Amino acid sequence: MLQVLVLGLMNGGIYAIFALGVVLVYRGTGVLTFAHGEIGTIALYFAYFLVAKVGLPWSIGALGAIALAALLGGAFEFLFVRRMVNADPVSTVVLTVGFGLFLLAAEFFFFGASPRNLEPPTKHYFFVIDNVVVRPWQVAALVLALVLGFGLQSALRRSDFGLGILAAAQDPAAVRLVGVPLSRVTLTVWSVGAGLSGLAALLVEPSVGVIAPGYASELFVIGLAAAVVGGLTSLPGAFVGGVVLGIAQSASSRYLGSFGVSGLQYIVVLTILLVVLLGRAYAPEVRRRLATPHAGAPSTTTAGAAA
Amino acid sequence: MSATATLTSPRAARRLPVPTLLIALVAAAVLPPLIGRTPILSDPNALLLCRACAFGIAAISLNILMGYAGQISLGQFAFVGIGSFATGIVTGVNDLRYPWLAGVAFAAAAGAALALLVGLPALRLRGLYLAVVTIGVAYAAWQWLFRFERIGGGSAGKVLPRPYFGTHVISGNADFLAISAVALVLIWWLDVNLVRSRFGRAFQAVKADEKVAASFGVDVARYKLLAFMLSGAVAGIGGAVYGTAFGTVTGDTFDYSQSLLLVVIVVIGGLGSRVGVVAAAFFAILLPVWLHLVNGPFTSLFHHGIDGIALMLNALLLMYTIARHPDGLAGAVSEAREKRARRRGGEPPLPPTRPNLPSLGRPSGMPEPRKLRPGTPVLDVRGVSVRFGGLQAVDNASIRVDRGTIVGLMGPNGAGKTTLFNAITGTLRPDTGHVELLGQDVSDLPAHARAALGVGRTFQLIGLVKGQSVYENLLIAQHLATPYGLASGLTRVGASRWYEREVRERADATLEGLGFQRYAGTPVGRLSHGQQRIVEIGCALVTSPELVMLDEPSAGMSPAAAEDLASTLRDIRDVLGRTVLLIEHNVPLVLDVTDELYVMDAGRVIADGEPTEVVQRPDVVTAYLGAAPAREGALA
Amino acid sequence: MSRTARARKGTGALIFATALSTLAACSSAPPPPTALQQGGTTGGAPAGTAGGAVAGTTGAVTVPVGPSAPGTTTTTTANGATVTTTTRGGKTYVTTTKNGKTTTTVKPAATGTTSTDTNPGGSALFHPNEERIGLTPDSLTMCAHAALTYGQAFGTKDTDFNVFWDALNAEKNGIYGRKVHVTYENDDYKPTTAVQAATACKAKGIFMLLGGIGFDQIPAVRNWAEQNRMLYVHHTATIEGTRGQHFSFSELPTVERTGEAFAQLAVAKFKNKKIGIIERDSSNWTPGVKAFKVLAKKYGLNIVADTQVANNKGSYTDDLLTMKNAGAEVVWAWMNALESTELLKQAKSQQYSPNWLMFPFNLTSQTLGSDAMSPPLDGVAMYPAYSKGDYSGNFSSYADDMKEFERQYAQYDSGIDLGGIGGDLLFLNWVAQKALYIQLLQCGKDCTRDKFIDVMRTYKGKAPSHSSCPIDFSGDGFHGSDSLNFMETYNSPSGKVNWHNTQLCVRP
Repeated sequence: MLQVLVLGLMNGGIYAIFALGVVLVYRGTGVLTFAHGEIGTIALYFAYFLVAKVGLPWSIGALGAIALAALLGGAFEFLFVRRMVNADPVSTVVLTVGFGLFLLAAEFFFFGASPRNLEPPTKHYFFVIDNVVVRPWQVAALVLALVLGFGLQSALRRSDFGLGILAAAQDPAAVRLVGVPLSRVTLTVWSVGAGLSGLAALLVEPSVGVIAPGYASELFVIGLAAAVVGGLTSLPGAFVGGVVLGIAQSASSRYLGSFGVSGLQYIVVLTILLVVLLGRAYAPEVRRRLATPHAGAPSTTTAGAAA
Repeated sequence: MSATATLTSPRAARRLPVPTLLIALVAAAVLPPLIGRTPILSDPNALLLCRACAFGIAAISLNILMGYAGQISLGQFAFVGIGSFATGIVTGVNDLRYPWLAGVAFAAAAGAALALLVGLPALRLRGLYLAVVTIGVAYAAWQWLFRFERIGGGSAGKVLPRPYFGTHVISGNADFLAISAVALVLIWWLDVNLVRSRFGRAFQAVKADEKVAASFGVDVARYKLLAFMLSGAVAGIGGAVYGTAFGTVTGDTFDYSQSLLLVVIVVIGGLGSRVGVVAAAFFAILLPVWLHLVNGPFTSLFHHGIDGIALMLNALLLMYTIARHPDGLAGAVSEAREKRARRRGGEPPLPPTRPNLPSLGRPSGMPEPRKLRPGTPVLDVRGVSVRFGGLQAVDNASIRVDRGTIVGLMGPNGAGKTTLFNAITGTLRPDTGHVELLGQDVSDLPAHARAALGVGRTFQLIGLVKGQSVYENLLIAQHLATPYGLASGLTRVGASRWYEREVRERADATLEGLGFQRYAGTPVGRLSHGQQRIVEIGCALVTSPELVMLDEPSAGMSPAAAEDLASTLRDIRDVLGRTVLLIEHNVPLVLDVTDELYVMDAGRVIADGEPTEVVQRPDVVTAYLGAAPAREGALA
Repeated sequence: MSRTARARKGTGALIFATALSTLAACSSAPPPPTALQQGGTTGGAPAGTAGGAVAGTTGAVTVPVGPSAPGTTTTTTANGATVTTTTRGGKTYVTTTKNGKTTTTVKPAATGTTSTDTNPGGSALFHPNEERIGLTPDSLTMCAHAALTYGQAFGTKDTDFNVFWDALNAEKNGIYGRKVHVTYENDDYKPTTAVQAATACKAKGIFMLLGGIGFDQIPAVRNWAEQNRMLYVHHTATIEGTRGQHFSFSELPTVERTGEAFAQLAVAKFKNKKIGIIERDSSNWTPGVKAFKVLAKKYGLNIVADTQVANNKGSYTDDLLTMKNAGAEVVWAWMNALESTELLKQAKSQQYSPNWLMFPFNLTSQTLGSDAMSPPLDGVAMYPAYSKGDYSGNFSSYADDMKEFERQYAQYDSGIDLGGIGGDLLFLNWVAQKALYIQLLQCGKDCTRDKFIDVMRTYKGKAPSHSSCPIDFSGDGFHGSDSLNFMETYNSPSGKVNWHNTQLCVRP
């Protein structure tokens, strides 16, 4: 039981960091990104290149990776997302899918399909909870997710620029009125969101041990689901979503493992996603039905309108 | 002979000739690699082309869902995969050993069944949420469903034997390529028929606006599910072809990145363009081979480069396409052609604004209207209330509309007129109250069922499918007049031929009446607001509904056009013998045409009666003055 | 007309499917049961099934499974059994499969061989015009599908794999004056890509197709080989799923036999310890575990945990905890070298150090370094160990091959470091190529595909070279070995942690 919790929290922290990046980008630009998994992967490859090939220390490699991720996110925003202001949100989703595929192709192109190995920053420090060895970077991921999830929102509220980020997707005009250039807001959220993906990829890599093309995208997809489960606009929600999915996943692989098929965790994640989304879509109707005998207005959840 | 001509002529007039650029693109992608590897139909080339055919079929399937019905799916390869495995299960040597075509049929059924499951949540989830759910489905299918030994055959995969016909076994890839090509052509043909049938038109309407679709009588939920099932069935057939070409498929053959690649293909090709998406599919599949040819020295430099470069180019092309041409390559082609045409011919002249409404009888596909007992109103609304959160939008409103009259509904902005309209047509369900149409209590009926009873309506913000032509909109509006089945629609055999001829005749007559023949092929979105309004009224009338509900028809019209509108409205009543319920701000117009006038304020009906008398009442004047003092002059 | 049409309105896509199945029924009637008589007249099938085939005239349907070899029929009887009759080498093989059980009986062939037989008394798998594809007076062309992308993990590239043939062509003028050309098509370690690779190979006009390492790719290509009538000589794969196949051969032990050998090693070294299994969730791997468990039961091994993991799972923390929780002292990692290296790294990160059983590759031992010696790892392999510069102990029996291998690489491919992580991979490839060369030499100047099959089948316990284990095709005629080598990690003289043999050519 405790093991399930510890494993769930360790994974959940990673999902939460990805989810935070997704939420930040969504609030800042109204775009749901599918590209951040590959941004994280390619950043990790860059860290591998700096550490294993160039011979720099891990910390410098990690900083370089986060910088590259932020740069890629910013460049994508500057070159493409910016032109999509009035486009259908679904087209923009497909645009981010295209960017993800581009990065995936770049990974194949520069590094090939074979797995690469990035040594962890340290092998020495750890502690044990109920037989599970917990490493510093795993704790760092969870703490970081917690701090960002609950602290970032109030921190952003303290400055005009931060308020601009929080309000950008809902009311771009208001952001301009406050005197914050909208383009700076969108550039910032894309860079920071992408940087978070690079960070998440770096923090999970030592527990896995190898890097392969598309490596972080499976983790990212669960992070994306976590962001949606958390409400897509809420930073604390992203953290909670990440942890919930992390624990659900470790519990499912522990208790449902005997059902034989190894991909069961995806069904669990999909089920939670559907229950939350449909629950949210039907909630007003159910409330109405309970309140009045003759009711039942069709309500539809639309992400664009939810903002 | 003449029937065929009627069936196709208006479309033929509008349809662009074959997009030559796309064909050139495909030729550029296909020919060099194939010529480079001789003979042209050598086994590897044929296998490659089989794969391209399968991707072409899959692209058509995704185009049905995204391009026609507007439902995003980032998990289409779940359906392709289940089709492959279904074929393996039905035809496999160690499984059922049925003939290949039975396998294909089962693949279609399995694809449709899985797609139906995915479609159910899509009834309530839209846009980005649906995107997240479908990518979740792609993952779950790949990592879970296909891992079942019984379905995916484990990581050894499922073996699909080559088809046999009688005792003749298809052995070579070149032979199988012929079958793949036939499958692609067959699916293409079905897709052409789909677009020209009520089903394709209903999808277009659902994509454009679900409320508008329902006002034409389209059962939105049912057609969404149908779009998913059709798409899943076609994807399943694509999977059968794909799997049979390779002989063995595993779960990993259908990983999520394949689904994403398919989305890339469909968006590059252009959503809604069959030629475009199939061309893009061939392009994407053959591009790596092409690069292998031209890149000999480069290949050795980057050992794993070629597929990487191909994918990178595909992805770049996608990003460029979306950022520059949101309609894809097909859109870019037609855009360029239009630009050229405009340079040559200049802007078309405006049509006459004074339409003659054609007097059309009831379409044979629609049921006879209920016989009303004398004295029964066409519309009877009693005590309807609608609440939005804390706002009482409509408060205990009652309205009665008698046959053969024009009834006006006035009130300041936010008075609840449109909300009441929506409650009447079923677009939203009121919290309390009853709506009776033609003597029947319809309070529990959904919007499309109320439309079927004989209610036509227009919307404040033009209820048309803007991307489609005027002619196409007139066909979409006759959804209820074409009660034929899917099989007939897809094959153009039987009932569909007859009904389609009839609705095309009616559309032609309406076009002529409106004086819009020249604009038959013009996308509605390109017309002026006033012209769109006329087309919209034409659409509302084309099925000869008993009750016509018009929401601010004069908004955005020039004064002259508004005057013409008055006589049009009188024609609807006097010439066509219809009943009209009209929301209008234009007081002279209202006074000119209405027989009875209701006034609403803050959700309540505050006055009703003889129009000239009603507008004099102090409470009515106050309501208008309080809400908008500037309108005082209009009231006088 | 209009009223009836309305009744069918919107009945959904099922109509569509139904219409298609109707189409199917029209266009392809079941094939006439002509082969049924053949099935009934072979007379070699066990009485029960043959009786079923004869009596059940209405229930029996023969399904052609792609073009069959000459003299082969496959029949399904009414009671669900599959009877495959093959005439080959003067004998009739009757394979009966019922309820998952396969029995093979061998009978002397019926009088009179087929008129197309160009190899009297020998294998008669190929038509005369297929026998010499890929052979010209001065060349012999072959092609292999292999996971080239993963070769990079071993620091190798495809040209590194042709040194044996380069040396042969340069020094001995090929085989009987025929220069040997072997090309590689990337199968990317995926079954579907492997089929694509095989198709591309076939288009080159090859004498035979070679299959590189990959439990998952080979079964897919075996099916392809049946459909495409290609002589296919492959690496280790399951014997399960090969019934009724005629074109695929392996000179290496099967997956089932390999699993059994792991159990033999466990019995020999860890009889009284708690054993855990982390196995690949795949029908191509599971038969090995089944065989392991059969033997484990026989010798009373104590299996305390067994988890199944997906291909390239990434994080094994959960599975490692399951092992830890169960107190497993020995863990069998039944997965490929890259995955087991990853697994071991994660185990070290979890401070978990049981005795490991795995496929021995220097990639794993050198990547893990000292971690691979605490405690030393144990392995079972179908190839001999290679540790550059060490010719002592069990290496001594094939030191001549090692030295020849090193000489050739120094001369024809100076770029590669044989002491690195890819050295053992190149050596096992070289050993396999040498065995193939010797057999091609034995096949003679007039070698044909059928003759080559006969050469393989003449091996009944002899080894083609010092570094190979004995080959023996006397079993089913398609699988030629049951010998495996036991290995262990050790600190090699070069200073690297490598694998060396502890016992060579272990038999059941």
